[in-house]
Amino acid sequence: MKLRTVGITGIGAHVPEQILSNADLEQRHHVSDQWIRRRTGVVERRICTREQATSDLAVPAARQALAAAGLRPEEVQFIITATMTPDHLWPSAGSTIQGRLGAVNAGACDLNAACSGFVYALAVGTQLVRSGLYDNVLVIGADVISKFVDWTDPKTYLFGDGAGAVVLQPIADREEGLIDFMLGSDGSRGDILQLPAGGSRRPSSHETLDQGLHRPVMDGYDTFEFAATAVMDSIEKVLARTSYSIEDVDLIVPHQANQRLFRPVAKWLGISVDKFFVNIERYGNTVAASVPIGLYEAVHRKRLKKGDLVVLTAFGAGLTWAGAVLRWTYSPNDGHEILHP
Amino acid sequence: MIGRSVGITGIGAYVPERVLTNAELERMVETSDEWIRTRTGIQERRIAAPTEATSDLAVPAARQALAAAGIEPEALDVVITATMTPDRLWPSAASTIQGRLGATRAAAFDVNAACSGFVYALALGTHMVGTGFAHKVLIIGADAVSKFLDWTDRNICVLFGDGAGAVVLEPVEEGEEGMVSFFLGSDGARGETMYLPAGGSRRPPSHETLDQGLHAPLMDGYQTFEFATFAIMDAIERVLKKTPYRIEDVDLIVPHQANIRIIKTAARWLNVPTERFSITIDRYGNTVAASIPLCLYEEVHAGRLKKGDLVLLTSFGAGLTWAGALLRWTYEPASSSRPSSG
Amino acid sequence: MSDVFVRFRQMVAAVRGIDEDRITPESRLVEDLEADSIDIVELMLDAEREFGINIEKQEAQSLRTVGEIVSFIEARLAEQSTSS
Repeated sequence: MKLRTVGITGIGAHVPEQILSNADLEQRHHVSDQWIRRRTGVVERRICTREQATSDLAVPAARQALAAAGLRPEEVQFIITATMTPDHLWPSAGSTIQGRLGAVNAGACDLNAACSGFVYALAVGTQLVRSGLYDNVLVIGADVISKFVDWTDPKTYLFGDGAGAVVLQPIADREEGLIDFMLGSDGSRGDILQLPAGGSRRPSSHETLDQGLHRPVMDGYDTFEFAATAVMDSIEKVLARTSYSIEDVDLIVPHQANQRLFRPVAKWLGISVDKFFVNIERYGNTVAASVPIGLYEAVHRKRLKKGDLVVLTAFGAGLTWAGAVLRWTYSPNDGHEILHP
Repeated sequence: MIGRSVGITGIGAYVPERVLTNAELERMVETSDEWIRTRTGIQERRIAAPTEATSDLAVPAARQALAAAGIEPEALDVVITATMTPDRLWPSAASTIQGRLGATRAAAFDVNAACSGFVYALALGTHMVGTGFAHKVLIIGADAVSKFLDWTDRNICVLFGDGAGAVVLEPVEEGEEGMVSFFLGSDGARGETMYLPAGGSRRPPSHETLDQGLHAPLMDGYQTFEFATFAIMDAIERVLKKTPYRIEDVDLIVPHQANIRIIKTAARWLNVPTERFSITIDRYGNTVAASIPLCLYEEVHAGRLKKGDLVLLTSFGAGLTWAGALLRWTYEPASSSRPSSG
Repeated sequence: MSDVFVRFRQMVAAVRGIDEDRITPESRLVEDLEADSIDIVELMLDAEREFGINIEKQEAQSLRTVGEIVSFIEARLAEQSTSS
């Protein structure tokens, strides 16, 4: 029997209500709006309340994706949640989400590849449908990194919270759907983006807290150099796995790490920077959520239509990076609105 | 499954050097060797050194699995690490391991389905190879749960141990069968049966969460036992149902090692002699995602698991999650050896 | 004016969005041309692509003026042509 073709048949996204603007940060921490904008392109970001955790953002995004695909929760067979900020170390956020959705027939797990997590999860989920193991798979990217950010450190002003979800199903071969992926990792450079404590290396203690080891570490120079190289590598390598070239691509939906990345990469690829879908100004870097939120907004802002050739590119802690080439297979029904008009 | 046949072509395991016996625990908390043995079947467990984290256990297990499969680290396409106790929240343990192995071409990610993580990761890896997306995948189950234990909680600290196991997945001849079928289940509605309250995005670490003791696992013993016995049976039933095989055809059942009494109950209900179950809990305790590959490793090297045997894996844990896998064993060791240890 | 200087000056002008006449060998990237660390990474990656050389982070961070970078690139190119 032949392997099946797999497509995205529904999409949803959710961000917290609470907006943290550069103006708010300016007042509290004496950093100028202009400085943050120039460094990162971020104007505002969404931040969870004290009570909310990753699964609370993921559940509404998932419900919306299921509704868009016309699927009932009990029809879902598998849920992969890409996150590096799960509610708990155990159980997984995936299981919590599965329970709250009432997806009583679904297996569930978390996948951690940091900011590349959603594209990784998409690649894994695609194989599960392609092989015939499952017909209905929910892939979620969700992170609440604000809980780990030190808001007195201006380097971390690029982050925000959010969630996005897609439904994967078998589709007709002529629709192409999810065409191919590339997944990369370089753990030897893992220390340039990390959360030092809270895992089995340095379990949480009063000392690790006092030493500030529960705050994200990132080296600006190394991170930007890696990001720029990773975007190029993922786009070039993933296209090389297909019969398409960069000229065929209608839209690139990148991980929204920093506005500053896209101009140099467009220059090196020889394409217009407008081919990149950018919404970092409103949400900041939402880790594993940024690619599905980008897709969601691109669809609902009519930048992405059924039949378009799309490239996804992501990169982050690990180090990890990932790319995907897909023919877009979903068009929203009337009544679906953009995330936050 | 549509696609290529996929099998295990190498296996490795590693446990920390430090043995913690029940006798020592008697001196640490109010418990007794007899109580632990009769209630859980555990006699001793291995505990990671203060400097050892999950990736430190995983790397030697992974190296051994690669050597057994006769492949170089650079040949790997993917490294999947099933763990609920990664070194750090980011980067993933898998990336750290990938870097240390020198698996320079490989993608790397962690899977968290708690004690079911290894079977989950095995399912994901199998389908990545089955569709032709990847050719050589390393699946690791590794946990250092000792780092999160409250050594004054006598009901919980006696149950766990640290360890790691790893297998290599590759395409095999269709006639060899390899991975036959999987079942992956979750019941998040009952997630609080066993969980770690703080340290994630729900309750990030703070002096308050530490003072309140929220960084040590909670577990409802009664509900856990009830769930485990249901899950072990359910997973076996569902995995077999998708295949032409029956429980009588199975040469070896490898259950997650949580409690000897769960295994004995399942044996009775299935009407299968306990000799057909793999049991290592006496020496290692509950090693979370490592327990199944650790068992497989020991069975192979004890000569109890041979190429061509039909093997049933079944696991259950936090999530709640439970999982099962039926496979035709496709690996034969060059020479026999014990699990490596620091 | 060397060929490397002319090409590098174009890159600096494009990355910083300024006129080429403002850029002399004496121009300091950070102080005079107001480049930030991300501009510098972009310029170094640009130069690596344009000239087919490798520039380490430590090297990049030790170079302050346009002239110093141009000399560095020229030296690297000379090394490559003798070693190959």
